[in-house]
Amino acid sequence: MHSNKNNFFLIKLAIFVCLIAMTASCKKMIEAKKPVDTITTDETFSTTANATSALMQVYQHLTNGDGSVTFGNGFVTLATGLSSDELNNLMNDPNLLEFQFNSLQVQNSYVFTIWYRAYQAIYYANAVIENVPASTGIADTVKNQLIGEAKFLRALLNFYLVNMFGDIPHITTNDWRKLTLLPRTAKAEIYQAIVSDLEDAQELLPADYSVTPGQRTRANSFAATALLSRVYLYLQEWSKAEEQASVIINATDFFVLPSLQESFSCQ
Amino acid sequence: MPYTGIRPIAPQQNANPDYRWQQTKKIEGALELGFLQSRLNINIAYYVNRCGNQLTDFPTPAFTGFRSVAANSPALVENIGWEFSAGGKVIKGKDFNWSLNFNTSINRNKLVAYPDLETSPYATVYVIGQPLNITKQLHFTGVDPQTGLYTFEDKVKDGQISTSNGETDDRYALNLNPKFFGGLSSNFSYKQFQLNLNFNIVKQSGRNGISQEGNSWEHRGTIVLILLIVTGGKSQVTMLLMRNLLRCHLEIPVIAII
Repeated sequence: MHSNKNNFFLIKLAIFVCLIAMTASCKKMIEAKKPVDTITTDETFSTTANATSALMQVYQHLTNGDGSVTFGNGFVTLATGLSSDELNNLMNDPNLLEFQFNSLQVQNSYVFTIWYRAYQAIYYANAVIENVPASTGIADTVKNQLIGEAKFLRALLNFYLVNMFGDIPHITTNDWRKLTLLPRTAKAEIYQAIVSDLEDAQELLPADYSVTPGQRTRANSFAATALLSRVYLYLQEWSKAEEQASVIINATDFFVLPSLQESFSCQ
Repeated sequence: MPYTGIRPIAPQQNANPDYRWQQTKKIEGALELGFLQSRLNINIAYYVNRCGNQLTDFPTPAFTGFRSVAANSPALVENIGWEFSAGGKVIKGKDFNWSLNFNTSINRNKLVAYPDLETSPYATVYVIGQPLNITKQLHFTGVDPQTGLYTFEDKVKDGQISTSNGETDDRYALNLNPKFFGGLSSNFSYKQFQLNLNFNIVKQSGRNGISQEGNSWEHRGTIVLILLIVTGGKSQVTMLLMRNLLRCHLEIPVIAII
């Protein structure tokens, strides 16, 4: 009888100790591990190769279209052409007809696609602009190149958005917690930001095609200058537009532009 | 797809450094009784749960780059309820047994707190003090015989029918959760043969399943379809009629077309 009681007590003690030991490791069970199929922002911008890949995503997003004509690979031409009587819609798509007859409805899916794809691209560009400066694994020349290209792209996207939507939210950070209640910013301020981004890009980017030898697939200082000239035109600052355009025209090493007479000749 | 031979790296989601586990606090009191040497058992339980910081896919505006982000909901939700079950062996013989079990539960869900609800994505969906599963609807007061248009009750008495959030809102918040639900199960067994019967009972409000938007209205007990030719104006109004459906027996509706 006595030994039975002892045994019983020992069993209870053993179980009790096991339970205590299990709860000690409970904390580890509820801590989430790092994901295995994705990399964090820090990792992405820690090496030149990864950071360049992050920048390439902006270009890819704008040229790929995931199999359809969308913002960046032709839809703006399509939509603005329909609105302005350059194009006639022969497709059986009521959403496109709304563009043609200037009766855009709130639910028009294409309008949302333009908006969303543009802001996705701005997000990708902002990721580079926000994270590359603080990175320790990228050379300064490469940093300038990446930030310059991203600023050019951000200016390009803002330019299209402000022309299509008027006052738009001005996004310069990827921290969604600061953005959720953001109101629209006036057009004039957006244009100021565009000009400022392009001027930065002109400084940071080289005035040649050294980064993409033999191809013109990434932005350089000429791209920023050309876009800046166009922006000044829209802002009706004629002399500044002429100044920027002249930079391109005079860069005869790279661009052999036909003269006005040649371009509009009737022959 | 590679661009200039370089494979791009694309962001998958917005980062949320404040993301943390949700917290639930529960308290429950239960009473279990057995009579006649456990031939009759009765259980009564009462519970209060409060859940905060729930893990949600929080909607974000498209201009943040993503449509949603993994975030903690700021809502504090409370669930209170009673659970009751009773059962026992009615007939306990050598070959033949019959046992009956009855259970029912009454649950109440309530949104206790939601900081900054008016500026959140749920401003038009949730109401503090009401359950989460609600729908906000105008009170339909019949078809105007002169115009053929729908008429609604002006709850706030400001001369206008408005469905915008805030003080001019004429809508009622209608609870779609069951008022109670329960079941009865009856078990017969004779030697190796068994017969189980189950019945479920639910008292719940729901959307009128056979109504079409804007084309019909339902009268309690009968279902009447009115084909209405609405010319312009209010034909866009969505109308949901909430009726209490007591689904404990088969109800054959009477359909008349006027």
